[in-house]
Amino acid sequence: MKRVALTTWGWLALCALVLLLPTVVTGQYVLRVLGIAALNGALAVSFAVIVRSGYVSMAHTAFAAMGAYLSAALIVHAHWNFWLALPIALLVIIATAFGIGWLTLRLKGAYFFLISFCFLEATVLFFGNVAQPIFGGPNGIVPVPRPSPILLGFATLSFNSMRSFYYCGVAVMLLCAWVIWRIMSTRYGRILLAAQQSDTLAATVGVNIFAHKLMAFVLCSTMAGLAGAVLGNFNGIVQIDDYAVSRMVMVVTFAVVGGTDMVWGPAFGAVLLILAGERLRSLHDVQLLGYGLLLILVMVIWPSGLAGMLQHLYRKLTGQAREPARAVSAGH
Amino acid sequence: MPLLQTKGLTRSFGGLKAVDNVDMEVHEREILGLIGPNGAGKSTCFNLLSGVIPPTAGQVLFDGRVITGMRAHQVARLGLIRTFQGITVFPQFTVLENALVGADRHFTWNLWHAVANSRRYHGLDRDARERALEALRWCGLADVHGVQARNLPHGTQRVLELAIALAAGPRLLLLDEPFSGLSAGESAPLIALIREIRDRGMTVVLVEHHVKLVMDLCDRIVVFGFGQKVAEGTPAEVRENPDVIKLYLGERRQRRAGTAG
Repeated sequence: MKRVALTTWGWLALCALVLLLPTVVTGQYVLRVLGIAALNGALAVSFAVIVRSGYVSMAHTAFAAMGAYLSAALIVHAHWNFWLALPIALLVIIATAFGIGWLTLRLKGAYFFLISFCFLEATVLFFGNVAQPIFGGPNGIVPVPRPSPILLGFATLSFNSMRSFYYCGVAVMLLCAWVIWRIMSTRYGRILLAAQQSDTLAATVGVNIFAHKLMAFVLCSTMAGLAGAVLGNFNGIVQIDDYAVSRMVMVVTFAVVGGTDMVWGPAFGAVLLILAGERLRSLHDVQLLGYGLLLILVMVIWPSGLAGMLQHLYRKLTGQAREPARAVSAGH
Repeated sequence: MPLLQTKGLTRSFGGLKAVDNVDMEVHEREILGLIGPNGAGKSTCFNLLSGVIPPTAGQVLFDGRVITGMRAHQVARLGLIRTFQGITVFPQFTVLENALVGADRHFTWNLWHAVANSRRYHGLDRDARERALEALRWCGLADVHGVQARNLPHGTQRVLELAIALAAGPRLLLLDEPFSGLSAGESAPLIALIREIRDRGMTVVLVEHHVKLVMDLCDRIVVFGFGQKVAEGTPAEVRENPDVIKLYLGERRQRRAGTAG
């Protein structure tokens, strides 16, 4: 609910920068990393909303996997167009998230965490082993063609270049962030935050807490599916290891390091850590350990993350005497 | 027709009957007090009435309508709002944000309007804000509406609790020990507020341990003992009732003997 302190002009400038970047930066590698960072940002931002409603969902990347695998399978085996396969995959995800949420959102804290973790593992096992002719087993679905071009009256949008990947990634992230921002700044966001503080009180003044939590869970899981689908279809390969526990831990780290108090916090965390991660690519195996340590460090020293830190600094600079940003810790 | 009615209301926890076959009525625009020794079943009764837990047997009727087994938010939407024993506010929200949650009772489901930031959403939002501010003004909290709830003093938080309930526009208010932890100075404005709530057409049922306070404030009293309704009537009648006297004296004698009350 706390609006970021930058002015509207600041945001517009940032958007312009993001949109015009490929004209200046043409390196394929850089554009790819930025596209990946944007999609991870979308994953992190949607994950953070579920956290703010009081649940740590380890199933988040499972839905990303579903988005990737379902769309890729329809394209490669049934020869569907990406633009048809994507909405169908998302519909399946909506239904699954609804079912999973319906059953598990009644559970509290650690129990929900464990069940969502089980769902992640089950999904990993499923896509890695079941229906191997369709999902390709441990090797995954490869090669996955790029999305088909879209013919508009005056031009054709093709998706073969790395630049198109960058734009798609950024578009997904901006869409997710915008929808989430709209929701969090209205009464829906307020209800989710209220549920996080006191479930019972909100219920006894007439708020259907469960319905709101379920809606948030389904919406955010679908966003994860969207990010996963774009990631998979532009990568040329859909392989389950990209969506398993290590990815989930990274998403959690992005969200916590970036800060869950602000909508843009997790995206900021994702971009920062992925860019930094590319620098430290040589330390491949140690990378995951590094994420874990960073996670612990942030939670102990500054739980509200970078966004919280920046907000705090801004308050100090502008001399606002309000209370410090509330630290929202992930999970109970 | 009574506003709230229970018939044979029972709640067991394993072998223990916390509430045992209780028939009671609450009439519109009255202030009803529920008193009784600790463990008599008053809070459990509240939990049953407000849908926090379901009864094992019996019925609850609100305004002639069976609400037995309805969940808490459904009961609240009908206009039956309760407060809790401990301080229950939203600590990280400001005072206004707290009241806004209460005002949500009147909102209808309109996610698309919210995301699209439509005029209709703005209209509803404005209404909710007005309702919340009205409740805050009534409780004297309008000045502190921007303060985080956890930074408020204890007594003010209790008033905020009530303000949240009032923002929901209740027909019947169940207040669970609203005066606990308050000094005499802090209690007086709350007493006045409760009387004003009744004067504005709402009905109040309260659970309290300060028997004298209950005698002064309430029109009628229901006495609970060991999960059962022991007596009911005006304060004067209840004061004279031999069963009630035995209930309280008996408890006092047990306390002196050192056994649990």
